[in-house]
Amino acid sequence: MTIGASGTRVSNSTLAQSAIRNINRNMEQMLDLQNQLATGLRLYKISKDPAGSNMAMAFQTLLERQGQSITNLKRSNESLAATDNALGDLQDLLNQAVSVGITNVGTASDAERQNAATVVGALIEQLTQIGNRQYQGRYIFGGRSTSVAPFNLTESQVRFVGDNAQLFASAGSNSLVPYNITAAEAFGSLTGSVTSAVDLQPAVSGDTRLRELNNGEGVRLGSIEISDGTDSTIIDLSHCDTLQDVIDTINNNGTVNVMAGISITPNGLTISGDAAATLRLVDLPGGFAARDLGIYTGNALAAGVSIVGTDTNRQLTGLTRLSQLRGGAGIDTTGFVIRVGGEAAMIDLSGAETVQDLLNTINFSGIGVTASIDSQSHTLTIANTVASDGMTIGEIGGQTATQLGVRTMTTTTELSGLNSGLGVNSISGVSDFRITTRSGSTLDVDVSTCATVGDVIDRINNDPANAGKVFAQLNVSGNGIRLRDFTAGGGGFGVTSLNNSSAAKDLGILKSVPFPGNIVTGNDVSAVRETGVFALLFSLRDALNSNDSPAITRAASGLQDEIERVARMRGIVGGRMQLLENNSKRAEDESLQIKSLLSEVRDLDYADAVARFQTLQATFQASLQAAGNILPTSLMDFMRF
Amino acid sequence: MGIYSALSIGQTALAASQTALEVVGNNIANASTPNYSRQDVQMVPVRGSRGALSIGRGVQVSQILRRYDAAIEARLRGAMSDANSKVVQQQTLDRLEGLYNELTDNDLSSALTGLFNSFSELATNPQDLAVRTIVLEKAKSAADLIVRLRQGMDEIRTEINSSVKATVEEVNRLASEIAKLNIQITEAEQGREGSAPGLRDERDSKLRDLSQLVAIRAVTQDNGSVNVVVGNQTLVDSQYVRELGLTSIKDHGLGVSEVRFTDNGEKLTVLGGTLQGQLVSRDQWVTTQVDYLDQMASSLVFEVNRLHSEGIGIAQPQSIRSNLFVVDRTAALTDPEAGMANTPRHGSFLVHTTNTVSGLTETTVINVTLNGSAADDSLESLAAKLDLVDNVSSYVDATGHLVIEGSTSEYRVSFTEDTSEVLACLGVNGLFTGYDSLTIGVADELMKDPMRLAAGLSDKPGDSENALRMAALADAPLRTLGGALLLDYHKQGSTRLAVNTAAARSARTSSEAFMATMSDQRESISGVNLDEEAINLIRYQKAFAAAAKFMSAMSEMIDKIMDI
Repeated sequence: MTIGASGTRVSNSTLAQSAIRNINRNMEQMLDLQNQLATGLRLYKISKDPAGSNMAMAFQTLLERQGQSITNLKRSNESLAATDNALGDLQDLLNQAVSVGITNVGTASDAERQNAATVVGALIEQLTQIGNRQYQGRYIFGGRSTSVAPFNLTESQVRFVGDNAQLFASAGSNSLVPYNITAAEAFGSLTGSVTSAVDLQPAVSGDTRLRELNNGEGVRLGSIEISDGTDSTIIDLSHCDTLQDVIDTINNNGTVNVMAGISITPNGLTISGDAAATLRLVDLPGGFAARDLGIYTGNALAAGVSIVGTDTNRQLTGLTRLSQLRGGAGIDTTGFVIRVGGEAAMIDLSGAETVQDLLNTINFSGIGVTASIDSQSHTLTIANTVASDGMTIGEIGGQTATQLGVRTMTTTTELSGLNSGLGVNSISGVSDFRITTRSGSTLDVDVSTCATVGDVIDRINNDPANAGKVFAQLNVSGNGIRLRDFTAGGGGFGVTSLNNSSAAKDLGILKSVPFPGNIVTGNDVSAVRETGVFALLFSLRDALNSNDSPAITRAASGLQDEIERVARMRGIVGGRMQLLENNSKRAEDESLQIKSLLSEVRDLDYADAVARFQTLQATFQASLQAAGNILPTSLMDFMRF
Repeated sequence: MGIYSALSIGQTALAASQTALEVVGNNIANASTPNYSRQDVQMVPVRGSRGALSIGRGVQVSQILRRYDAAIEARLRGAMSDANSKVVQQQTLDRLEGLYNELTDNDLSSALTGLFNSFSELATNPQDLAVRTIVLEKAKSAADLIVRLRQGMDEIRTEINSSVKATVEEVNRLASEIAKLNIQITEAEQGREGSAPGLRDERDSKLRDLSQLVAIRAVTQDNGSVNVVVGNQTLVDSQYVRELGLTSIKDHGLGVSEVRFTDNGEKLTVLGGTLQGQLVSRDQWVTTQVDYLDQMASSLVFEVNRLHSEGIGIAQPQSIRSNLFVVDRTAALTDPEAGMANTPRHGSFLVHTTNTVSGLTETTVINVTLNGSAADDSLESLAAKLDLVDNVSSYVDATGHLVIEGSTSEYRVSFTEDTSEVLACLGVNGLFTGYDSLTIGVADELMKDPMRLAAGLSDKPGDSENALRMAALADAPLRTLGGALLLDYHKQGSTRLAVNTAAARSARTSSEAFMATMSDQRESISGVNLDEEAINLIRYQKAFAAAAKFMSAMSEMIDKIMDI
């Protein structure tokens, strides 16, 4: 409201214009309120209240995202519920199998046991069906392979072709929740694997990408400062992608005369300067490049001393060249042999250049093993996916499997792990077996104190009674212990059991050769088998068929353990479901809260708005009335001519 | 004193009253004429002749005064310039705000959230064709909305631009009319200042019209003409006019006109008025939002594509063609000649070739050299490097797009670990096409076959790792946005608009209020008040009647003398 006339005169047009202005202003305000009333929104336009709108927009986005999180959580919950169902069925099935096993130990007739074996065969089929169960068109135990049945049942074996990946759903910002359990968790599949204990030590080279360093965490690139005591310069490394880029950038700095290069030990960079140079290399404040590259010196080094970087911890990837393994020494490319059940695959590495070639050769060997690498610990794992058969990995004359750490029998292999975990049974305190040489001399061996295969070999070779007559070593090809007789004579060479010990049999050397043979090639007893439910059911069936009571009991007790494990898994699944439910409840509560906040900011207070509308209306009427009364009157009306 | 001289006194009174009545009449007639300045009659007595008894010789109209205050007029003109400029600006901002339509369910922030939500939905159900289709539809609707917003902004700018043309023509017309009036006033007044009030009123009206279009300063000269100055540039110099012209330049991808003097090509500096409102709206308010939208769109395209290019769909094509192209295929990729919207950097990426029959995958490192050396890669040399990979063939097609394909129908190609970002920059295996708010779209081949959407990092149908990565983009501070989140950046843009709009609205209200005050002040001096005129009417009518009475008395006196 402006009362314009600051002078004493009020012209007629001032009156008119003022009336028009007032009416317009009133109408504008009424239009605004009308809009608010019609939309029910105080903020029907963001410019009505920019700060409030900003908040409202944030709330709205939050709500929209919460909605999706709730959907994801619910879907994950449903998926886990389906998993829980399957696990329940699995438990029932295992209980059946155990009772079948227990009732058939010892007393049952052959025919009854045959029947029981058939029943177990049917259980294996049912188990496969549980493993291949689908939820919404997705195989729940297939990991990421959701469109292929993860368990492949043939006449004699079950092969796992899914993957063991954990699947995650997004539950809001930066929060992931798992919505499956893997086949390994549910069925104990893929447990028959060899994980190398050998660090393959991938060496760096110029073409090593920086992202592979520090176990795959890479290098936080930035600028470094280098000085040789006289000159100093700042070098920007931010564009570098490989170690060679770093070396070139440092060498071409143009100010400080240094020479950078790759150092083999430790596995990183080295930088040398002139004889008198006191090298100092640091990060600029806030930078980490020098530290991440392992070449940070802190204080200046003594004159003439080179910077020797620390180990850059290169990760093992498919791209790592085989020649870069073992600290740059490379591996023997002779190859090795993998046996699964009756099948064997020669892993020929003569054409392989990279770790990926190695993995491909193993994975595509066609006998149901999968190889993978752990990029952090630089180790190789070979897993047996066939539940019914054991897997052995042995040399074919070279050192490849040993160097890769995947040979199933080495001198360090524990005796307890042999024979699929049954170990080597020795009689304590007395000799377990006797080696008879061609000369007729005998060597009695007690392995009860031996822990590893190497201990057994040493026990034979270092026995005072031996004195070079018999030499034991690991088979050069395949696995098993090889005994060689160096004596002369006309007798046979062989091993016999003593004191009813099964140790020789368990070690695979209960064998003899007739004259002139002087070598006993031990059997490979190092087979690695799955211990999962499939493997146990197969064992139970086979044991029932062969009336092997101890084996039936073992399988049954193994299954009993599995029942407990599955029960634990169900507990975990239940816990996850509970967590999901809690999360979604919390998200819903939060949504509700945000909704009320949003409404507070954005929605119209009707009572207040209506009251204001009425006030405006009254004002409007008053100004119309005033204009109507004032405008038409003039002195002219009162003049008479 | 003779009797006849008494008659002549009466005659002066009659004449003066008549003139005064005419002026009153004129004032009443113009009571509602805009820009009319009220006139006032100034009467002075006619000085008497010599003699001991000096009697005046009647009355005369010395001047018809135009009630007018030049200072107030100047301030009114300034207020008008200001208000008009603010009106245009507010209208533009209002339109922009309407375009954004934020706080509804079909605004851009909802569309963006919808897109990221669909990614996270995809993560829980990556093999589902329906979910994949939804993701693409959401991407498409976000892209379409961005393009629609941008087109809307361009439309506003184009409209304002044509208004600028009209405004400049109007300025030219008014300027030349003022120059013409200058001549007429100088001739009519001949040095007697204010003796041509009608012409002056007309010129003032033109000045006021002009000041609505551009803020001006009117400098009155001794001869009665005014010079018109815009900023510190002369527009009208008494009878001479400097004509304004338009030159076209390109700004934010649109041809716009700059206002310049045609004589020396100097750019006009406008400080107020419709023209300034239009220029500020066109070159500042709208383009600020264009910049926000552009930056957001280009970041969305780049970041999503960066992740998508590294992913693998359930269906993989044998041949992949980049969405974007280079202008000069032999220029280094960082060279402006290559014409890439986003430039890659020195780095590397991995190429995986998978034999679909055997399932065997081979990986090769491709180094992208861009360290400023002579060996820097062009698209041509990059294609050559890719072509060297076993079972891959790669080339640059006739239109400058990079094509990477399996050498036979058995082979498929995928990529990971792209530190050079060249794949995202080129839009290789990208979800979005284009590079800014005008060009953003969704790749056609994905729309046709949603199974190509790269939800995973492996070819396993249940792999949703890439979908999770893309969903997490919503919460990732983006380098391309200076560390801001995508949605926050958009929110910043719309809040900025809201603040600007609210500010423009209040600026408009206050400048209009000021204008009203100034207008009232002017009216209080120059406006006609009918009551006042009525009183004057009575006064001069009575004066006339009295003078007539006096004349008739004189006449009687003469008759008496004649009778003698």
